[in-house]
Amino acid sequence: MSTAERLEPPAIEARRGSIRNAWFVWGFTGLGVALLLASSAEGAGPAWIPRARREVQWMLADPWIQGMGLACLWIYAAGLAWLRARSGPARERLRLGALAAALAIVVSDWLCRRPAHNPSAMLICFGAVAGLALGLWRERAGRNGVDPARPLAFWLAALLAASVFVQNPAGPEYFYRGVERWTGIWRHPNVFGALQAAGVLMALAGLADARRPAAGGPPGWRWGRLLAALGCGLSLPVLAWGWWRSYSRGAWLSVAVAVAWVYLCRRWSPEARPSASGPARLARARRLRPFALPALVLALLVLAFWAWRNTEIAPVRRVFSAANPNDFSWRNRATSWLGGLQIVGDHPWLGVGWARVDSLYNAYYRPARLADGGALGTNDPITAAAALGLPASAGFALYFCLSLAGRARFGAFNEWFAAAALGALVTAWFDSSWLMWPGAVLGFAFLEIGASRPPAGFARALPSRASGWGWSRGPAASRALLGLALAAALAALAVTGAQLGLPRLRTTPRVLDWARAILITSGEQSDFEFLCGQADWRREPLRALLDHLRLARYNRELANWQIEEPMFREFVLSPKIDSSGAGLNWRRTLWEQCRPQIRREETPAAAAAVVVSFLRSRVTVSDQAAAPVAPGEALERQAVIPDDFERLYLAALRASGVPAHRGADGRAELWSEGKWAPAPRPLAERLQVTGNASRAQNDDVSAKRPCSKTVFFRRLPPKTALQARL
Amino acid sequence: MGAPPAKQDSVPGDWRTRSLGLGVLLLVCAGALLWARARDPLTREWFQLRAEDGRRFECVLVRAKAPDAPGAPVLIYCHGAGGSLTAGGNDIRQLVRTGCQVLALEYDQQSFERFAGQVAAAQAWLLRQPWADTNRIVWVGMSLGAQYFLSLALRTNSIKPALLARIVGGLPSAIPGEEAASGTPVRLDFPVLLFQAENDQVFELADGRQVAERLRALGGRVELIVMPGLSHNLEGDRAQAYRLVGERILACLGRIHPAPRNRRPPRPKPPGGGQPPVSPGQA
Repeated sequence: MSTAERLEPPAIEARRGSIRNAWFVWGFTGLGVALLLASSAEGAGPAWIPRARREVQWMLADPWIQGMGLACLWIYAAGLAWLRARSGPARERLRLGALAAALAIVVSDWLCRRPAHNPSAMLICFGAVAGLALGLWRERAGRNGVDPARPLAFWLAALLAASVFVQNPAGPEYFYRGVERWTGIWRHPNVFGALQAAGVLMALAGLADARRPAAGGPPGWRWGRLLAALGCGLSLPVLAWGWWRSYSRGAWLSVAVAVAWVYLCRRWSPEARPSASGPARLARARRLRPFALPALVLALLVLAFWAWRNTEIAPVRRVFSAANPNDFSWRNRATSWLGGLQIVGDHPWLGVGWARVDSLYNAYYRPARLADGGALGTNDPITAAAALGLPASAGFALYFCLSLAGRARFGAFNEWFAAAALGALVTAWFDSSWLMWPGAVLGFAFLEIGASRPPAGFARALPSRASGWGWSRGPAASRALLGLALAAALAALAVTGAQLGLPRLRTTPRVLDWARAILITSGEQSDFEFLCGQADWRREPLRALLDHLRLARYNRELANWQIEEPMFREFVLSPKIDSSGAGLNWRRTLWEQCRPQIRREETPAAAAAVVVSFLRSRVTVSDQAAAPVAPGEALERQAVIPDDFERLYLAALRASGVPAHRGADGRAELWSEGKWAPAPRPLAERLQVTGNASRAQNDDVSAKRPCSKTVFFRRLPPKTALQARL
Repeated sequence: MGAPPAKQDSVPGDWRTRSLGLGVLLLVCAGALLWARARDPLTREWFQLRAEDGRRFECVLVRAKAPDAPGAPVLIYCHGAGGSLTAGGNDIRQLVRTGCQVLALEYDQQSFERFAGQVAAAQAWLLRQPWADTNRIVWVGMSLGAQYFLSLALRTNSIKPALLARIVGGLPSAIPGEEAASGTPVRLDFPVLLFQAENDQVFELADGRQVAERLRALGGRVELIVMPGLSHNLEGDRAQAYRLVGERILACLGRIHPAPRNRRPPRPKPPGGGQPPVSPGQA
């Protein structure tokens, strides 16, 4: 008698299911390895990988292959969505219908525009198909009493943990204040950080599953649960170290958001809500309880920011740089989002196509002060909205919202996979993790597994009203936590009010005393006193003085040349350009405009040449300009008289860290190589003009004079918009 | 081991909360979109025109949102060889920042005849626009665009600009003929601005001087402006060079003060209670 004949029929079926699932897990693992290697940097791994990758890229660059592949992928996606939705509730049909419609727009957009060299459409469709297949597999495999989410979480955590040990063979390329940022086998630390963040969340999912009482599944399945939990537990520190060393703020934020989301889902789930019975005062206090811990954490973060925002400890400084107004990294991104939204506003229905987003942004929407327009590419949702239009974006947004909403009640894996999907969305917003090979597949896989129903025995037992995070604690502990959170919040508000409110006050002697006591550090004291004695600040807010103080010192750290202390004070820090009494509040405006232009210049003279070219490309110099303008307003007014241009030039040089003053002839001079030298002049002053094409003085500009033989500038009857365009 | 019943999915009150969340999300998105558009100082309209031969070509009209000052010229702009409307966006924006309105064409770079038809169609379209000052239509071409524009101006009297501005152009083949296609003598009754780069390797400075001399011989008011240290592509100072082009055009047409364009001004009031400016899409 064979082994199969000795087993009972349900056990045979379960073993067959396990074998099928094992094949699927190994297949998924192989796919994962292939995707990770496919997205790796040049030189990582064996030599055949880049060759194979190039072959695939060339093959996919063919428009016909891309079109056929996209059409096939959409058919697969629609079929899988139909299989998932046919037995589900109306919300599931709406969710998957929104995805199918959005994918249809992606495919039709590609077929109409054919951006052969842009893989974004293929990435999205492939990721969606992989995610839908995994979700369907999980629902079907549940019939055998097993939950494939567990091996998936384990293998993902193990694979990504293993990738931490293989760093870029080309050597470190990215640094933050001298500290190397790890990139793993990928091209950029942000990609590495996003994947490590996903690994951290998968490891947490495996550990959370281990806390659940074992139930269901074939006999060996329970041992597998323990092994998976052990593997996740071992992977977690490795993943967390890689995640931390990536110095990717988007990855850090994604894990924070995902953990907070799991916490809030548990605290606010209907099952975990406290009973409404009891006195009204106590009921109000109970309603406030869930806010206590988040409020405490937030308040402590705010206090820590004000205390350590200027610290030299690299990781702390990196964390707080997200709230630093002088950090160009996040400010350039925010500025580029504005340009991306303007593209969406100009092309709301059909977008501009994947291939044109970057070029159109660079040419028509990028502000002049941004040296390059790469920041827009870091935001996947806005890039997708600009490429595809609002209908496709609305479809994806509806799909994401419905996939995330209310799935935490299904169990530990569902809530952690959904949290990982949310984390992937966060990194997609800040670091463009979705529009790359592993990111797209992982993102959709997290969403679909998080939204799929677990096997019946694996669903989490609904928490009682007295269980769950924090609810098991007694009322005294809850009241203490609430009180602590309230005290920390009040302290954070007070410190923030002082730091932000005081600089807005008009500069009076009393305000200066307050600033000395609260805002000025010991290192800034002498420069602050120097600035106070330089000019009459009574008409300016304290913020103007503080901007001069802090930006001049900060720019001195950034500049590629050394400035001696007396020169720095007299000709860089000093806000007084000349004796004309021009406005003093110019440093921030000009620093923000000029600093990105000169960041690669090595000498003051080279920086001055760039500055004068930039300024002259933004303003017109004319004797007939309307009225004198302060240096801080000239870039906005765009027209200045020559004397104002000299002031603007001097102010911009000082804001850029170049010691400058007005020479005997009234023109700007800069301190270079130990002596004063004339500053570079703009192109307009060096033009060689022969002849004169201007109109004679007696020409009447307003008269309607024909200058064409056939058209006497008689207005033709207006046409309709359609006629005009045809 | 089946799936749990569907009704367990929904909890009373959840839909209300989620609908509220979705509504807030929609409001935030719509608000961000409107805010971004309000911060945009320019309008860009992409459309197609049809030339006389029936072929369509793409155009982009870039204007400032600020109310047009009286006398703001309309520039018909053609980029250089190998360029495109998308690649030339920064040059177009720089011209708009000086106070001009720009209609840029994706012209046929291979055929001068088609180019001529496209410019004629663009000019005819401009003449129908109520916002355009039809006495101030300026042709601005760079490199190949400059060559084509001068050839067109010298071959036909049917359409003429109020001013022709050539950026790094050379000696076109049409000058020796000095007669229009119709056989009538060419009238150069509009001023010409020639912007030449000192270190131009494609169209040397001597070519620019020769063009200036020949056009002066035809009776034109010609101004030759040599930009020192620049190459054919105006590398290094392209933005400044285009600013100077815009300023010189305004100076030649009698207006030199650019309006403040870097920030969108408050909503304009209709002058004298009349109709507000009409956008091309509404015309």
